[in-house]
Amino acid sequence: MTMTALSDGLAEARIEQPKPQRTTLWLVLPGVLWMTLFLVLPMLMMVYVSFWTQTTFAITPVLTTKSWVNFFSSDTYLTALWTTIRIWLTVLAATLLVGYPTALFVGLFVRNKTLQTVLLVLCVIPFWTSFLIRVLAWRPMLGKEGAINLVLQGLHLTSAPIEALLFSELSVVIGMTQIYCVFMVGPIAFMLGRIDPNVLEAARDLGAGFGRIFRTIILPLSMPGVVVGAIFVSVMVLGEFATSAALSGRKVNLLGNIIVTQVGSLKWAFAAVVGVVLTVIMGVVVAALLRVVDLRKEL
Amino acid sequence: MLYDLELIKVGKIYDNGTPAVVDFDLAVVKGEFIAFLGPSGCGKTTTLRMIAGFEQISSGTIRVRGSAINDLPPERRPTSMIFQNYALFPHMTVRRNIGYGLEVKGLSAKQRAAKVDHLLATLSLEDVADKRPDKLSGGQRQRIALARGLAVEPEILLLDEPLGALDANLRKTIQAELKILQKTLGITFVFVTHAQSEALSLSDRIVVMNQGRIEQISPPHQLYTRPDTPFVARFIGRNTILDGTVKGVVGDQVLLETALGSLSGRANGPLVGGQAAKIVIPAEAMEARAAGPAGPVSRSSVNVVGATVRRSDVVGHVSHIAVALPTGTPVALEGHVDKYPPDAFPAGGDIVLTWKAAEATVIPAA
Repeated sequence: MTMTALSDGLAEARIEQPKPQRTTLWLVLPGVLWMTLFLVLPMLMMVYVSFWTQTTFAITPVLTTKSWVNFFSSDTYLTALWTTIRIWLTVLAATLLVGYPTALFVGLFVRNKTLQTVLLVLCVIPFWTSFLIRVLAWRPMLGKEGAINLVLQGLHLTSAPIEALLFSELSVVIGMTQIYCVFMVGPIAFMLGRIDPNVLEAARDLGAGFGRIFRTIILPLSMPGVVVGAIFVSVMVLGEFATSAALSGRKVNLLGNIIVTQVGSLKWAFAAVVGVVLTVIMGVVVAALLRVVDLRKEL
Repeated sequence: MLYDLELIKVGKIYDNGTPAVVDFDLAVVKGEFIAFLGPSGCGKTTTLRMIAGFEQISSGTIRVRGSAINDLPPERRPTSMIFQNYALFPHMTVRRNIGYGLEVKGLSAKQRAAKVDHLLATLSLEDVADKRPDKLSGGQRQRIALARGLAVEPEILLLDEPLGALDANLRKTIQAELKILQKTLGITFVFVTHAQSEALSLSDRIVVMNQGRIEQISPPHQLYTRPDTPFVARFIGRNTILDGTVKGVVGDQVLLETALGSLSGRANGPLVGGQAAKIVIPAEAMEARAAGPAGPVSRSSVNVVGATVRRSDVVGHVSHIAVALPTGTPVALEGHVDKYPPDAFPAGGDIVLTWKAAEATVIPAA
């Protein structure tokens, strides 16, 4: 009620508000300058450079599609593209699978606000240490003589260490899921926390059991959180290279790893091609996710 | 007799040991409009939520049409609740909101549409049927909540301060609509409110609650004329309450010795000589007249006390006279200007107040 009154008030205020004055436009200038210099121009440059001519030791601004043809005719790179998409989808599903129930618990079933904050802070504790440490910490966990294998053997559940745990696609997925899960939990818990408990009671009162309430009320009302979480996770996972470098033993090559390698060997034009491909993928993913819900309306 | 709703010695004790509701006894016949009235924190909403099933009862029994519903979860109780903030489903259209309960019951889309259309028409919501509730006014959302609750054809409709969030004018309109709707449907309404006027104008019977206990259950006008307890006398209407000791009881008339002399009223409750009691005099029962040599004729059935005018104002055609009894107790009187011409009651002037013994109530002090 008060919310609507408030938004009604805002709507009215908006109508009465004069158009932004020319002078107030100066306020956005630093931001616009920054973004132009360090985001728009570099991206345009990246597209431009992807068409330059690359030789073993030099790169010249002579336009050619050679690097592009190279990318799309090479099995190695197409495999990397596919691996990137596969790992992205797997991690997205895994973070959702682990994150949603966690968020459901924190956001909906813990009604004590203090406890809710404490639990969310607990989710963030791993961030108190650096990204690389968090990734590398998985090695002594998953390794052949790592914690998991030792425990499994100690309990006589396995007779030999499970080697597939480390330096495989699985270890990359495990590592990424742990690192990015919190970005899924946060937005979903936020949306769930905003659900009016009376709304859920009203549904029960009308005869709905938990399954139906979840399907028809909780899930739809938390969708904006899922979408925001999915955008966070997708953008970060698609651009990943460190986790796969540290945990895959160079067996898993993501587009990010290829960029790193190509830049390392000064193959700027080719790195630019991969950069453009990756940027397009991210753009498509974000646009598609935004079509699922109208965030402007829901937030 | 088969009651629609029975609460038998219902009690609620919170986990921390505080009692919220104590020994709540009430029997409601079908089609009655019952109001739970009381100050905030008196346990009225808790009682309503116990009937709905959202609060566990700690003791006692709740029956609907004779069968105990204590152990039924809210989704299986034959009650519908209208929440104070309406609790509409924000992501569904008005139509789907209203049809939700029917969807749950497994009605086909066609059956649902027929019922929902009927409710939309009854509550004049056709124009907004396909809108989301957050785009609508308070009054419309209130009606959507009602339609959604009524769609499942409950035995009993529970309303938790449903008019609280509306502005004064709209509240009057919806009050009237609610009353008509209830009479038309003939189902039992249990209504929680802290607003006297709402309870008095809507309900057949009012349950006045204070600190988790029932103070009085009676039809609205009886709360005015025959308050059972000092709390009800203070809470309902504008009463002057004076302490005294019972001097004598004759029939239903009680003579009370007070600081203002001997006063008489009708007994309500067991009273014996020497007992501490209170006399409750409604402002409407009091008449003021200028004190003078031609003073009032004293009759045993009429009480007379002196008072001093503090202030007198005229608003439109109504005179408001604020007087003070010798004990300092303020009394507010009002009447037509013809009856109380403002110049007849100047501030500081002495007057006498009279009332008929039959219109005052004497109740035990405790």
